[in-house]
Amino acid sequence: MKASALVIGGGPAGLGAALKLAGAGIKVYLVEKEGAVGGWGARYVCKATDSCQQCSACLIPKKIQEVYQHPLVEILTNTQVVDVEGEPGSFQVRLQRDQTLDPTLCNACGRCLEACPKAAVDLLNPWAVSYRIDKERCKVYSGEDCDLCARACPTGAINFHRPGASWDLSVQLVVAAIGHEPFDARRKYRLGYGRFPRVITGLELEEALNRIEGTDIFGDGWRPLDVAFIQCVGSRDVQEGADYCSRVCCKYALRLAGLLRHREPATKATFYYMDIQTGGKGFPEIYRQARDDFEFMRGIPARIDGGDRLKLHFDGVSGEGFANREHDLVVLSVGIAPSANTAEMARLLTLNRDEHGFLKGREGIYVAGTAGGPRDISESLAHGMETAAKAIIKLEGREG
Amino acid sequence: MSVAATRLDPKFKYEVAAHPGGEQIKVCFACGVCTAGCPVSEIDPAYNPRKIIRMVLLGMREEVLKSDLLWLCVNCYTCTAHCPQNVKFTNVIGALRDMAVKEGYVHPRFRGDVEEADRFIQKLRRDMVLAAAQDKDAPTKLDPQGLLDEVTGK
Ligand SMILES: Cc1cc2nc3c(=O)[nH]c(=O)nc-3n(C[C@H](O)[C@H](O)[C@H](O)COP(=O)(O)OP(=O)(O)OC[C@H]3O[C@@H](n4cnc5c(N)ncnc54)[C@H](O)[C@@H]3O)c2cc1C
Ligand code: SF4
Ligand code: SF4
Repeated sequence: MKASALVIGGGPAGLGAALKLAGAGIKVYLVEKEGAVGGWGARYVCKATDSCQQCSACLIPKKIQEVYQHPLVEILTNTQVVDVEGEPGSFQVRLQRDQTLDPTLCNACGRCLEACPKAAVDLLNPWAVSYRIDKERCKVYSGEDCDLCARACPTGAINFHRPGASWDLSVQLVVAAIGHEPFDARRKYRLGYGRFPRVITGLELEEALNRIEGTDIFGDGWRPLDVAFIQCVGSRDVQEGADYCSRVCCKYALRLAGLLRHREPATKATFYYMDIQTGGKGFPEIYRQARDDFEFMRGIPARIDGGDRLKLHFDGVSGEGFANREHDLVVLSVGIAPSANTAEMARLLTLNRDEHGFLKGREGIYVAGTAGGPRDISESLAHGMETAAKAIIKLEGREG
Repeated sequence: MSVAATRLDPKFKYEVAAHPGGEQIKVCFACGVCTAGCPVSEIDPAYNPRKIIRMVLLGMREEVLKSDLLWLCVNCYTCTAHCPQNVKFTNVIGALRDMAVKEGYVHPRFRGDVEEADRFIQKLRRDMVLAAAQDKDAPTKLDPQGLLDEVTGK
């Protein structure tokens, strides 16, 4: 019997699992709900200064290319799993695909984007092979009439009347690699996110620096020169049900500050933190350098007031007490929270969740990457491969 | 304040933790959000919730219990609302005040006075919220002099 597997989610963990499974001769259906694979990491910026900073962002395009080239991996974008039945070794799954935009017809010419008044058709990430429709912005999905993009498309790839597709598959095993959600910074009202335009998240800084060459992050000519990074936003926080370290925020924040400074040497940065997690490849050296280049303030601010400059209220260097300080940009180092569809996937796949809400695997259904808890890109990729390796051994045991 | 190793009492933190309200003190990880949001710290930086917790955890029993700072808290619960570890510092202060009285560091009457002032502040806050809720356009209808007279017993 030729074995086959379903991998749900095309982030680093899903890509790693798919490649490992396919490498063992297993047919892989890689299901991705968005219009492109790559996950969150595909939107991040390469943080190299004069030298590589080992942030792993570049691993993702490499792995995307590998899955596209692998004959045993079938990539199904805009697709969701809607039903799963059966038992370990034999699952029947039903998939559903939104076919408004047919990726096989799209040649990424970009005419749709020019035509759209809402900029709702775009490339999800720089490695996307076709455009996608952002349902949150597209007028059609909020009930209005519009077909400007469909009319602009020279290949007929966009058609709002094309029905979706639904079909069944039989697979021997399932890997759930549905990833995570960056913590929703709006929940920390007092830190001003969503109220003050110059309070942004680490994700937004990643994306902005990926889009541009310099430090004009809002595209209006203004450049930040005095940046505050607030650590542990949505991590190690019992009140948010996130009583864990997200493992990635110290690293990306320090590297982003280094990149800002590399692009604009006059940039100052101050880190408001409780303690810095210094583990990980190449990170101790980065931290040592950062200690020389930036200021470290051991205290998380309680409140930020808006204005031309942002005013942070914090407990100054331990013991000196309450202090205020102004900065011109605040970056909230948001952590890793369970993916928004975790509860639904747990129900669909009959999986349990841990105390923080992350998925736990069971026989025949494996959980990989940040779907199971905080990990960085290389850890997620490795975890996907490791999980697949375990699944292969189990499967061979059953067949042999 | 210097830390004299000989006077450190390693049992102090367990006693505070055993006191109603003090249970969570040991999980504090010194993030400083309590101090950063405290209206008293804003006026008098010598009053520092994070530092008081550190002193308790270190076992600085005498310094903490005899300190005037213990009595500056206005029970606004801001620190408690902000703390990511649910330490409930407002209750910790209550526990420390209890211990200070029981162990003879302050006269019991002092505690009564402070509690009265606390109650007044709660009433003031309630009145302000009520005034704001009843008439959104004129929250300044409050009569500060009247309230002052009330508390000074005129
Ligand atoms: C602000 C920020 C910055 C970061 N910077 C770095 C960094 O510089 N370096 C680093 O190593 N790590 C960084 N990380 C961590 C990194 O994002 C993660 O390690 C990585 O994205 C995890 O990969 P994943 O495959 O587990 O999940 P994800 O990247 O979340 O991918 C999951 C994929 O599954 C898809 N999916 C979800 N549900 C379904 C479903 N039901 N059906 C089909 N598909 C589904 C999603 O659309 C997505 O494509 C950062 C994290 C944050 C929050
Ligand atoms: S806010 Fe809570 S965890 Fe942070 S220092 Fe204060 S008591 Fe400790
Ligand atoms: S309850 Fe007391 S310690 Fe806490 S913020 Fe208010 S005044 Fe400060």
